Amino acid sequence: MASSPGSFAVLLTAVPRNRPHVVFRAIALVTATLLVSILVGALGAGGTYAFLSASAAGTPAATLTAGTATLSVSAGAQNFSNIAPGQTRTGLFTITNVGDVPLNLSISSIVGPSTANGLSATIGDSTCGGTQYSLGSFAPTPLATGASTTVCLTVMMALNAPNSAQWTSTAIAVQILGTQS
Amino acid sequence: MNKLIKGAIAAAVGIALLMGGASTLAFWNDSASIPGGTISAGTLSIAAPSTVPATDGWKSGSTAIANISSFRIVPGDTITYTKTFNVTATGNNLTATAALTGGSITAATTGAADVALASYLTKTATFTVGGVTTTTVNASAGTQTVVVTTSLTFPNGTAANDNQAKLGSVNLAAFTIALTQN
Repeated sequence: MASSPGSFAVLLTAVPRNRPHVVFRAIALVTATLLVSILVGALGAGGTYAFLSASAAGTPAATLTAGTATLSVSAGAQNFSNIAPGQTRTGLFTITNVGDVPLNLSISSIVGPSTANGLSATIGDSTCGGTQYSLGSFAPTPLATGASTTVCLTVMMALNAPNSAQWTSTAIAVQILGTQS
Repeated sequence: MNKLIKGAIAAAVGIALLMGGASTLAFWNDSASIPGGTISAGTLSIAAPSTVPATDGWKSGSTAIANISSFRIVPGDTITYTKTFNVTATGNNLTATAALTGGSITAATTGAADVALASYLTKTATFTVGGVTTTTVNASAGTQTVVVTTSLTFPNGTAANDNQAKLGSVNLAAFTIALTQN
């Protein structure tokens, strides 16, 4: 190929034709290098864009504890033995708020009385004959922290209680709910 | 060498000759010095005063909490910690922003109540600068009083959720008050 005049002529014309591209590439390379250098320099020097700052402890380290809502119930005078049809038995209970928040009291449930044992039960005030409370309501409300209230559980045996109820024992459970007021 | 290159070379030589002789084109001149001066930088600092104001400390509402460790937080409570600082902000164009940074509310143990309480408590902070509620501190002569009130809230939720946090404990790491130049 080197001996071919035609090839030689082609080589001579090829150099100036390619020169602008070479120059452009060189300029582009230098420009890109400069841009990268500037960017790297700017990023690397980011820490030099300093500004004033100051700080201090705003709160001390501490331990914070949540309170609780807790009721305690203690039994007072009780008389629930030997009940017969038509009779009533009562017992006093003291409910105390031993938690950290005032509580609205309500009766969640009274479990035990049924037609099988002929019993019925109600919750009322401490007089055992005055105000009777229904499920879901209670008085006095709310019960302050540390305060107590006494309620009376009244159990009645119906006149038509079945004979099968004789000599039986029934557990009566009353659930009192205290809700933060 | 084509004509264009020859022309360019000739022009360059001409300019070089002219510049070489520039020093001979004398003209009157004089000089004077600009008087120097002292330039002082500003500053930004925050520090607690040596005498703690009576308004500082933990509070539940307006009632002071003598011992935060004995306090029992319940749903619906918001307790605050107020702290007064002296801020020095010097600089002709200095303004800064106060913010509550760092610190954390973490469960004291991995117990369910502790974890639940830590998840329910939220914190916010308000700032007063010179008696005005703002987070912006402007430059001023002397010191400025900045009062930071950090609030911790145990929001009312559902009974089922809130009950999980009964008697739970959290550790309050020290929150930091930061002033940053704008």
